Amino acid sequence: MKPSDDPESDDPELIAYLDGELGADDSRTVESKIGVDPAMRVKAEEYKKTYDLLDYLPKPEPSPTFTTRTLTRLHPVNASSTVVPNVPALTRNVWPELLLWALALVAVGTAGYFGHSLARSYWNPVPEAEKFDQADLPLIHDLPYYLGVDDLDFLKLLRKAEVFDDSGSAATPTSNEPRETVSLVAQQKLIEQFLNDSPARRLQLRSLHRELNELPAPERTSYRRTLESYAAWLDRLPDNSRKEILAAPTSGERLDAVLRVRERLWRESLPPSQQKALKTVASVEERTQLLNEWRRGEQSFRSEWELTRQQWQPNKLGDHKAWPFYDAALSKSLDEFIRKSFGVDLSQPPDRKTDVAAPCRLTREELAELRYRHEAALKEGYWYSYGACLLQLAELHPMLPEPGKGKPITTVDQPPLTKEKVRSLLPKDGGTPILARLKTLGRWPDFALEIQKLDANSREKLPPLGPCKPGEFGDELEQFLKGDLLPKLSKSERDKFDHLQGKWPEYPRMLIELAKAKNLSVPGAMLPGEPKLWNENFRIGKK
Amino acid sequence: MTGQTSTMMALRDPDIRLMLRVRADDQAAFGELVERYQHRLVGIMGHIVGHATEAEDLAQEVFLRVYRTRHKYTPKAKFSTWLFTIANNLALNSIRDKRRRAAVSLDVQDSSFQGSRPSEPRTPDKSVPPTLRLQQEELAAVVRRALDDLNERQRVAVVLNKFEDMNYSEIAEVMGLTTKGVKSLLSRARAKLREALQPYIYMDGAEPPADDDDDTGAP
Repeated sequence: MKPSDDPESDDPELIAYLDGELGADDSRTVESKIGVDPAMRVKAEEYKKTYDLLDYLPKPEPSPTFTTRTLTRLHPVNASSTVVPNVPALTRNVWPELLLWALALVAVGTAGYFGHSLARSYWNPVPEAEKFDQADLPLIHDLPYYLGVDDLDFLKLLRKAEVFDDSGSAATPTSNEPRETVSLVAQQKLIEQFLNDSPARRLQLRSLHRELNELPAPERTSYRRTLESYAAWLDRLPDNSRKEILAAPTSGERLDAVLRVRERLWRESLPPSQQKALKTVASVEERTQLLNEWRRGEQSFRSEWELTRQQWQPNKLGDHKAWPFYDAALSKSLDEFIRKSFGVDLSQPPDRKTDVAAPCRLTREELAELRYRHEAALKEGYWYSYGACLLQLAELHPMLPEPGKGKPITTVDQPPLTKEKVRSLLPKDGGTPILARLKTLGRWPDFALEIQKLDANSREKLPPLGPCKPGEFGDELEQFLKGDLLPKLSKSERDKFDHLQGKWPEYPRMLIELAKAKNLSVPGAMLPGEPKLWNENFRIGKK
Repeated sequence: MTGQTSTMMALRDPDIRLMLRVRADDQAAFGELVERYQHRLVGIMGHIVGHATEAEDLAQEVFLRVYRTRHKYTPKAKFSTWLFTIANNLALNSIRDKRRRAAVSLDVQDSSFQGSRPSEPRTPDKSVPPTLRLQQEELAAVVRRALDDLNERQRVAVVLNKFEDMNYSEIAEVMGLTTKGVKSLLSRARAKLREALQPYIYMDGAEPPADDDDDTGAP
C-alpha cells in the first residue's frame, strides 16, 4: 500500500469523519465510500491506529514544586508590570544580567551587605510575605491542623459528610484557649514551614484562620475538633493516600478523595475471613450488600463505643453509678427483672454446663456478653456499656407478664396443655413427634408463644396460655394497671385495649405498647424505670 | 462582549470565575488556577517541544503571562481556550527561536533534544519489519520522532486534537486559523504521521482490514 496520498484524495474528509467533525450528510457519504472501497477502509483503520500510537508518548508531569515556584515568581512580575522579560524561564542564562546588576550596585556605592542582599532578592526573589509577621503566630501554632484544608467550605463539607468525629475529647482546646505550649524549636520550624509556603497558600491560611476564629464559640470548637480529627487521620495515612487527598484541586474533589481513601482503607482493613468471603461473591449487588451489612455492624459498634466514651469520663470522675444503677430500689428491681426475664442470676458464677439451660433465654454469646459487661460495670465503672447491653437484650427477648396465679406455662404437661395435645400440634415427620425438640421448653413466655403459634391452625383452639385480662396478673401489675396505666389512656386507646381482653398474647403485648407510649414500665415485663430514660441513655444509634 | 454575556460565561465556566478573581488581584485564585491547569499545560507543552524541563519552563511562562495580562482579561471564550492560545503562541515562538539559534550556530554542538537525537534515518527502513518485541520506550521514541518531523503548526494541531480532545473550531480559535484551515492542517499532519508510523501500525498482531487491492494503496 502506498501511504503517500494524492492531495486531491478523500483524506481530509475521511480524517474529519474519524474526528467526528462531519455533519450527518457528509458522514453518510464517507461511510458509503468506506463500505464499497476496501482500500479506504484500510486507510481509515490506519489513521485510527496511527493516532492510537501517540498514546505511547510519555506524558510529562509538573514537578512537585511547580506551583510554589510559579507563585514565587509573581513578585518580580508585580514589581515590574511594564517590563516583561521575554524568556524568563528558570533555565535561562542569568549571568550577564547578574554582572550588570553587580556593576550597577558597585557604581552607586551600595556594594557589600546591602548590595548582596539586593542582588539576592532579585535572583531569588523573596515575596514580602516571607518576612515574618508576629500577627501570624497564632495561625502558625495551628499550622499542623490546616494540612489538607483550603477553606472553611471544605471544613463544612467534611462536617456535613460526618466522616470525622467532631465530639472530640473534653480536653480539646478551643481556638481562643491556650493550646499546648510550643517549644521555641518547634515554633521556629513551623514559622519556616509557613514562610516556605507559597504566597497564595499563606493568604489562604490567613483567611481560613480568620474565618474560623470569627465563628461563634460552640461552632468554632466543633470545627476545631473536626480539624484535629482530620489532621490526625491524614498524619496516619500512607504517603500515597495522603498525596491523593492533598492533590485534589477543589474542596469537592478533596472530599471525594477523603471518602474514597476511607472506603479503600476500610476495605483493606477487613479481617481475612471477610476479604475471602468478598472474593467468593460473584455479583456486584451481592458484594455491595455484604459490604453494607458489615458497614452497618461497624457503625453500630462505633456508636456503642461513642456512647461509652462520652459517658465514661464523668462516670469515672464522680465515681458514681449511672442511672438507674445508683437508685437502690430500681437496681434491685433490675436484678429481679434480669433473673425473671433473661432467666439469669448474675450473682452466681458462670457454669458452662448449666448457664444457658432453661430458664435462661439468652444464647451462650449473649450471656457471655452480659456477664462481661456486668463485671466491667462493677469493677471498672462501665455502667453505660452495661445499660446498653441490657436494653439490647430486653429488646431481643421481649417479656410478657406472668400470671398472678400459678406458674407460667413452660412445660408440656401444664394445664391446659397435655403431652398428647402438644404432640398433636407437632409435625409428624413419619414417626412420633419428640417433645424434647421444642427448644423453648422451660422458658417463659417463649414456650407458650411457640405452642400458641403451633396451635394457630388447629381446629380445637387452646385456651389463652397466659394472663390476658384484668384480674389475671400479679398484684403489682394489677395495681399498675388500675393506678398508673388505665387512667392515662384516652378513650380510643382504652377501647382498643379492652377489645383485646381474653386474647393472648395480643392483650399483654398491647399493655406493654401502651405503657411505653405513656413512658411507664410494666412491672416484671419491662426494664424498670422510665422507658424514655433507657432510650436516651442507652440506645445505640438512632434514638 | 457585553457585561451580561461576560457574566453568563462566568456563570457557566468556573475557571472564568477564578480568572475574574485573578483579575481582581486575588493571588490565591491564581494559585488555584496554576494547580488546576499545570498538569494539562505541562503535558501539552511536553508533547509539543519534546523536552520535560523546557515544557515546565514554558508552562510556567504561560501562567506568568496570564498573571501579567490579568487586568486586560475579558471572558470571550472558554478559559481553557484563552489559556491554550497563550500556550500556542509561546510554544511556537520557542520552537522558532530554537531553530534560528540552531541555524546561526551550526558548528556548536546542540545540547537540546534536537541535537541529542539518535542518528537514525527519519523514515524507517520498510524492508526490515519492526520486531513485535519492540519495547514501549523504543516505540515512544519512534512516535516522538514522527511527531517532531511535523512542522510546528501541524504538531500543535495534532497535540491539541489528540491530547486535549479539542474539536476543529476550538483548535482554530487557539491557533488563529479557520476551521477549514485546521481540517487541512490536520489532514496533512495525519497523513505524514501515517507514513512515518506505518511499519508500527500492526505490530500489536492485529490483522489489517481486508483489502483486495493492497498493493495499489490509495483508491
